[in-house]
Amino acid sequence: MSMLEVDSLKRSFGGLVAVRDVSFAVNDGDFLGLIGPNGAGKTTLFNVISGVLRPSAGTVRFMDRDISGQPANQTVRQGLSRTFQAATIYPEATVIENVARGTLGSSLTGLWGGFLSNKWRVAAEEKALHVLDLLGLARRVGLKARELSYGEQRRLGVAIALASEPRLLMLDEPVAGLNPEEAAELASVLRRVKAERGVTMVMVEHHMRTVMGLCNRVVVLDHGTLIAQGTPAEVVSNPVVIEAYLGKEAVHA
Amino acid sequence: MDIILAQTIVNGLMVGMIYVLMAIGFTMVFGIMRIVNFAHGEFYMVGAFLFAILYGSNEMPFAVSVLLAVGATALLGLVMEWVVFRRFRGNELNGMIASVGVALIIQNSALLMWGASARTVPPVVSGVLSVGGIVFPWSRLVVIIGAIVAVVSLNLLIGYTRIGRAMRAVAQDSEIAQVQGIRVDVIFPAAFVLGVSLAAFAGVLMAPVLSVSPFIGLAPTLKAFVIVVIGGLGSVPGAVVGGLLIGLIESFAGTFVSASLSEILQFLVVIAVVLLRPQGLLGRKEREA
Amino acid sequence: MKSPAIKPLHYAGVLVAVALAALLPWFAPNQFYIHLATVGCINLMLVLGLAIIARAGQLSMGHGGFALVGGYVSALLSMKGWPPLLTLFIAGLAAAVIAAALGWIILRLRGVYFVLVAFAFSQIAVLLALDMSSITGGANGLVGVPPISIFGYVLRAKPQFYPFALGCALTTLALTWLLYRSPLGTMMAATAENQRLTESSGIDTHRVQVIAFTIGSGIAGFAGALSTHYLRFISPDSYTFWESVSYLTMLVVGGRDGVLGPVVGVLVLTPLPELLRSTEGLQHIIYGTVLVLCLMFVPNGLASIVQMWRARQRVTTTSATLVAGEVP
Repeated sequence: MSMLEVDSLKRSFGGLVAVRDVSFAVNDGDFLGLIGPNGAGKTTLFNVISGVLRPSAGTVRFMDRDISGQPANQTVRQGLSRTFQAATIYPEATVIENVARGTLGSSLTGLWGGFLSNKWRVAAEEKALHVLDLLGLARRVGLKARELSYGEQRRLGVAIALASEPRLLMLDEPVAGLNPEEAAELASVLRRVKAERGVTMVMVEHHMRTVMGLCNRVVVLDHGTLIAQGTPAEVVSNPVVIEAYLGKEAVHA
Repeated sequence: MDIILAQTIVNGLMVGMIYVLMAIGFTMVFGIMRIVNFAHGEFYMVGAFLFAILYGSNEMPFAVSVLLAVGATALLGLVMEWVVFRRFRGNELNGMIASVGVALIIQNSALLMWGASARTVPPVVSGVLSVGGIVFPWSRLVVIIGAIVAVVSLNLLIGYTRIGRAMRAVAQDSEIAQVQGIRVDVIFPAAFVLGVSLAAFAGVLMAPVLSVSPFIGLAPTLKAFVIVVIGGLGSVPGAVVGGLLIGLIESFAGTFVSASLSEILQFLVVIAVVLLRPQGLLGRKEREA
Repeated sequence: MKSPAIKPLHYAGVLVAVALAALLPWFAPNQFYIHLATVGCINLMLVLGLAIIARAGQLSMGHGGFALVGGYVSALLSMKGWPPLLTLFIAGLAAAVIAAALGWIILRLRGVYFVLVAFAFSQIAVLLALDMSSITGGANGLVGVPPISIFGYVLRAKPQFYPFALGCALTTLALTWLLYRSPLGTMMAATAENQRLTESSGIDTHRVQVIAFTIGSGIAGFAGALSTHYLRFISPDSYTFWESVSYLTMLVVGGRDGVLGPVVGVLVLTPLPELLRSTEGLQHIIYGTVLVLCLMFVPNGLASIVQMWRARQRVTTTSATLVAGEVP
């Protein structure tokens, strides 16, 4: 059984078809890269899978359950989390509070518990500290999130997504806007997270070096259609893929 | 046609057109400046009061009274924009709360200056229009005509002048508009002044028909809100459709049922629109994240 | 975060303040001050209700409407013979139910639309109170609302009512404080700060906002009922736009963030209308000006000034410690 199954997925906006008949599967333990030239529909596909947009046709199945079109917060509770392109954080809250909030959706106390004692907060902050340590932010816990550097804020975004203890984590262009050093740091962090927590990952990314370094499988989109899939090495040498990129933009090394 | 039916329609159109003026001014200010102006109705009140004082008490010529009343209110609007609203450009929420404070200040300043008692203004035109045996007072028809002239002029301004085009650009996307060289420091005050001038003109038109007091501003503000939610925030055609719809509902329900039921009915229409078409009848759908 | 030495002092301060407030009837030179304190307690409950709604990121300009509904419900039921102590809670419940239904519909909207429709609701409430005169007494309102009696002890005079009002206010304060510290309260704060992020952490933010709106408006209903049994009177003029604005002003001036803000706002602004009763127009102008000035210069409220001062103290202590530690 695959963890995530996308079947004949279509999404259009008025007359514009952004995603056209896309089908692929993600297996437990994969690190899938979703690449393609600008405007290929990667972000739209991403948003449909994570529940931000509804599909116009087709289905998305997660852990053998049809999640097509259901609200995003429900999908997260079922074990599928995502990060955002812009560093999305709680700017005025401390770093540890940011991640502690991320645990609330999936905590045992639910909406109506935790009024009379502080135990829930102690447990939440403990979980948060573990995640922050994994992401190399342990020494920044007391700072306000807006005081972090941009690279640290991106990592904080990943930490918040991990706080809900997902089975599958979707990353929206995680290294965009980072310099080569920060990008390499984030990549090694992701590798570590995957190894220690066993989280399956799907990543939309333009930065080919990161994709080559992290992913075991790659799916290529162009003009809303899936044009190739395979290992990074297979995809990069695929003539169809090369043609899609050449004449549009140089492939980032 | 039945007399009562005809008069109900005319009343509905009259009230409706006034509401249209209020709603257009309000929705323009929101569409361009992203400000919900709780003080909008107070400018209506000030326009009405100044007209009442100039034309009613001081017996100045009609055209002069109108120009001075609207002009002075526009000036008040400019001052308010510069002193208060300018500071809340990024902050929708605080700007809205600030407008509540401004409403209090304007309303109670009027109370202190001019007293609480209602004034009447002599009608501008007398006589009636006879159509098919039914008589319509000219004083009411004049309001409809005046409002239509204002709306048409506004449409020409927005559609065919440079400043109108600039306003539309800012309403669509103020960042891109700035990049294209449009100066929001000029457009924002201009839009605000235009919006409150419409409200003031509505006040001038209504002054001879209803009585004038410092407290007449709240009801039109609420009506403007309701109409704009129905028509779509930022949509001028929506304000026209919504305004006429609400005016007619109010007139019909008020005549044939009861005043309170009329208000409840309008509220239910708002709820229905919100449930079935949240962006308003003619509003733009919010871009999905 | 807080060094242990500060905490007991903090609690002692709170206890002293509460004790002083409770003993007021014995210190006050005349009944006017007791009346002022009672009004302050009721105001505090209303502002706390508004603060809870604001915590989840929404602003209710319809707050007065729920107070009005609560007041009328309690008045009408108690005038039919129901015990006022019971009708107080029924009033709060009625307001909460209406808020839940209304909130569920309109909280899906962008913040602006919500504010407008909530405001429309409060105006409808006033209009209904005016028009349904056979039930509500119309513009004259309802006179002779029964006083509250607790186990036979009737709260008729001002010094009798005040302790009850104080008790209700302090209970509301304590419950609000507990709410803010709970997971639900944290979800509310998260929703207000970044709704998209909170959604993607698995929290149904719409539900959170409806709950906040329900609780806050229910408190308003209770407070409106409490006021009705204090004044023994209610009319459509009891909770107009002006009242909604004054609670909002108290919240903004005091501070929207914790429980201290509402207390500060109520303490600063409650005496004002009572002292300036002779010039109502001027009083409203002052309120409006205070509101605008506060938004321009102290947007986080007066309580935030206290917090900023304390934060600066903490930073200086921390830097000093760091420097001391670094020096070999």
